[in-house]
Amino acid sequence: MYNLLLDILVEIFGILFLVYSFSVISFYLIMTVLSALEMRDHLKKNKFADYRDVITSPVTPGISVIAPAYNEGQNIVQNAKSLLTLHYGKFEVIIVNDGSKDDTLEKMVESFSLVKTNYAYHKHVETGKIRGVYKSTNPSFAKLTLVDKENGGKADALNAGINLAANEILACIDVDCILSSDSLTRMVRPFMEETNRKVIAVGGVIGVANNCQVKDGTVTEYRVPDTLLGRFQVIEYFRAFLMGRMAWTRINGLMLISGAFGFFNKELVLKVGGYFPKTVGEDMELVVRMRRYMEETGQKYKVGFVPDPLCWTEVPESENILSKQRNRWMRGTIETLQLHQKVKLNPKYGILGMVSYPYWSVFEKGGPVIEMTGFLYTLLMIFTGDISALYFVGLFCLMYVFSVMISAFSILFEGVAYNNYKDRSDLNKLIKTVLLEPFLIHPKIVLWGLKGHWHFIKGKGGWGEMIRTGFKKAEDKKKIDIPIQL
Amino acid sequence: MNELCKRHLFKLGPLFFFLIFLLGNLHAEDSLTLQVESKLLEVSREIPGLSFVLEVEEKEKDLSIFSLTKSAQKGFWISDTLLDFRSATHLRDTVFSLSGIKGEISFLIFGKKSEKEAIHEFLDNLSRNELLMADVSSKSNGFEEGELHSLASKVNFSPFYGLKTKILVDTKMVLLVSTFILFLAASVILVTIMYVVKKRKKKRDSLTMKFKELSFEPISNLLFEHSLQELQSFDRTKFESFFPVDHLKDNLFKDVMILEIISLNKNMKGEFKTKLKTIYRKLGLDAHSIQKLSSKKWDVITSGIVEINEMDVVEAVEKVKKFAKSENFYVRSNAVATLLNISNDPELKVLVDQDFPLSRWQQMVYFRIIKFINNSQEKVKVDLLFESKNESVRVFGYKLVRYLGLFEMLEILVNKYKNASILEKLEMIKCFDAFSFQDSLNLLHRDLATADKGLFLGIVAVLKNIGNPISEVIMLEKLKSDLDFESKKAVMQALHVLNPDLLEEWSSNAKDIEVQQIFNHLIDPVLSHV
Repeated sequence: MYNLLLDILVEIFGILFLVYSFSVISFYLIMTVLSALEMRDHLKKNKFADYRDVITSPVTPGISVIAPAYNEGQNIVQNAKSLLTLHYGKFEVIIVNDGSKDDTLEKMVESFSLVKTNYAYHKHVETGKIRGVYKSTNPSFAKLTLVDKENGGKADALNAGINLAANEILACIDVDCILSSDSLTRMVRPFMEETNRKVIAVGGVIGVANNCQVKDGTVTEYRVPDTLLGRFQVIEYFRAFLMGRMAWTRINGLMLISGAFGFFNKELVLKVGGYFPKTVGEDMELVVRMRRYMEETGQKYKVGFVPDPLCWTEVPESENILSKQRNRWMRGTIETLQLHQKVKLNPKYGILGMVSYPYWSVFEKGGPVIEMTGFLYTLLMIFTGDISALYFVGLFCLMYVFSVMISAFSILFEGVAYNNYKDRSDLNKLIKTVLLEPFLIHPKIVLWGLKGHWHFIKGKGGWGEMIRTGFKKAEDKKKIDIPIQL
Repeated sequence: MNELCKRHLFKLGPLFFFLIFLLGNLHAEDSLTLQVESKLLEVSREIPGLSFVLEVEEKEKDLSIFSLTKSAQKGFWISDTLLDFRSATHLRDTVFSLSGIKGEISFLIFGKKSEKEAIHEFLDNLSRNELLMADVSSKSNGFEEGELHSLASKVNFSPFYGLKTKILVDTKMVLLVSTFILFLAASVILVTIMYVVKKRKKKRDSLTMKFKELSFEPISNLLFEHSLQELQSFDRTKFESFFPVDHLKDNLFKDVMILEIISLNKNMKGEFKTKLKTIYRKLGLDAHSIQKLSSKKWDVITSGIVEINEMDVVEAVEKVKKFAKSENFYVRSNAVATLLNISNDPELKVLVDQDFPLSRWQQMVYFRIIKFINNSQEKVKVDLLFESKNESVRVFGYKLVRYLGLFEMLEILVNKYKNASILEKLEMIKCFDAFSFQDSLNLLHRDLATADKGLFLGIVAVLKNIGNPISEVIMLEKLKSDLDFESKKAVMQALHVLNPDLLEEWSSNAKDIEVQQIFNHLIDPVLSHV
């Protein structure tokens, strides 16, 4: 009897793993084609876009750039200056000092002649205590506002900035990001172009700045990082931004806009209650909530994406920091999916409910768990001698060759679209990374993802406990049960 | 094939398929019986739960000599329940050989008569759970073990199941291998396509660079070494003699030349512009641009329209007109921009007739062109835009009043204000504000009662600049009502500009914390410019 049961289980698991593997491959193939089509269209459209008028035209919308800073004393002045020199007409820069323990505030005050003011603002979104709003006595820095608040996390700091923002578009960025001088003019284009649908948010590509040459706030020469982990992230960013997000944009199914460089319609952000500070995946959660609002109120909308290289960041090259980042990303994903279960396979939510959400649930959230189970299953089969060597080798080769192919495609894709990495030795290094990644890095990524699952279950780090046990406080629940303010 | 044959085929076709179906069924039935019987014969012992009965149909003869008894069913003889299948087959064969009557063995599972499918399944289950094992014959078909060994050593080894058979029998393996091939092929194709695209792009880019170098010098020479009169007197052959003849018929070379000319045209002024247009036309590049309008690709059409626009190819206006209502945003936007630029239409008819809503991007582009026309050529009749059926066109019209400084239109706006939509009103009041138009005050005071927050804030912003004592009173009354923070701040800002003493007096008596906060904000010298 037990033998029979075991046989059935082994059989079912075998089929499930096979179906999963094939689904992953099918999804990637579809995404590859969709992203290629979207990129082709984007490059064609770019030929006809004249950005010169955007800076001076009275028609362009104003932008509030919000950058939270925590213990950024070392570079904050340089970063703020870089933001103030962006090429755009109507914009303001709001730096939010999120209770830094270093000299971030002092350096800002000193460098920009800032003084504490009686700035009156309304708390559209609840935030931690604001200690002061600073403005410069020097009219040259009239565009700069510094908000000093008690530490409450990135989402809370962004909410404080949103409360003070005066313009109709919010650019939420990481203060240490390097922004191209024309980043605002290019990112605002999707908001300005759409005629029939409301553009609720626009995401941008994040480039890897490690080892690159930076001049006047722009990457002038691209070089791949020296470490394998750094190079892996270059390829991963190609896959995620140039392929993944482009493909989702094609079908208007984009669910995640990077917190390091995202543009949002302020009116809608306020309507849905701003960032949800009790999740570590605040960037994804906000986009899902905004989309839900639009679907529930029956409005036509679009989440745009600009694949031009406009923003760069330093990626972690140490395993310790990278593991923490991946752990946080995984928890953020799980939390967002948990919070918005209502959307799951609900035709009322269109692409969001029927495609994006299931994809994220199965492949992004479930991926590490399924991969680890598959690995243990294979070990068990080898141990019991129940595995066909041919079957095992076949499946292994399929997954390896396919992963190499997809990564190779992403490198070629970048080459066709932008060709930033021109040095042949850089390309060789990237190809070497592609070949090694499935053996040396992917297993670690799976483990870090699993750790994220475990920490979510244990309620470790961030706000896992609260999400896991449900909404105890009425105000927490209110945030997710989107208020309809028509 | 003639008609008669076809008709026969149509009639016989279904019959043919029916026969195939029947044959298939019969074959399946036979094969099942064979499978069941062969399995039972492999086991000499009794199988728990399974028994057999021989049934013989015979109405006349007495078959009791075979230990058969008459069945309740008329004309049938049945045996006792037999526990061993071999005994049942033996009895069937004996009856047949002695009486010539073929009996049939019925199968019973736990005493209940069952069909062959059920027996097959029952035996399968027993086998799978290792409860039923075929007898291992101790006999060696007449061979002694030693003989068998020596015989085996002489025969070449060949596996009973070949790899091919093994793969084909395993469904999972078939699925895996076929999908492996499919996916691999798909990914290889994708990578190959991308590689080819990259190579072609690289080749095109290097060709473009080469053509740029080849065309830049002759264009510069023509531009700086010849007067406009000279250029106008040259014929096409003369022009062509300046350029590499081999490439002149190459479309890419033409495209590169056009781009070079357009780029120079954007950065030059006066006679040079005319010279560039002369070069463009004399080389027949205008025909190349017009030709692009016949393409099926939207990007080619758009680039044709852009070229026509930049080089003022007026004769192409009629051809461009048909794209002014295109579904494609880029084709439509550029067609409208071109028509505004080169069709000498100060009435802006192409805009008035637009069915699609105007995006901000389009408004930005059209504004630049209209501003240019208004300043350098004929005054545009913006008021005609106010009559458009398209709300976004009307709103754009009001914006133009403000941007172009058309204060003479304000009276028209006042007349239209009452029946305008909120969006239109918002633009109109910005115009009143821009020109400090006092005549609009009554309208604004009346609309301060609006429930639309955007309109309210807009009106308050205008009153801040052009308000009078009546405005102050109305706004003060508003402050006393239940206003949200944003509205309160806007009203207080307006009052602070119009009558700071009045605001100070009122604020000092107000108990509302928000009022105090806003007042402190307003009197903060650092925030005075914010």
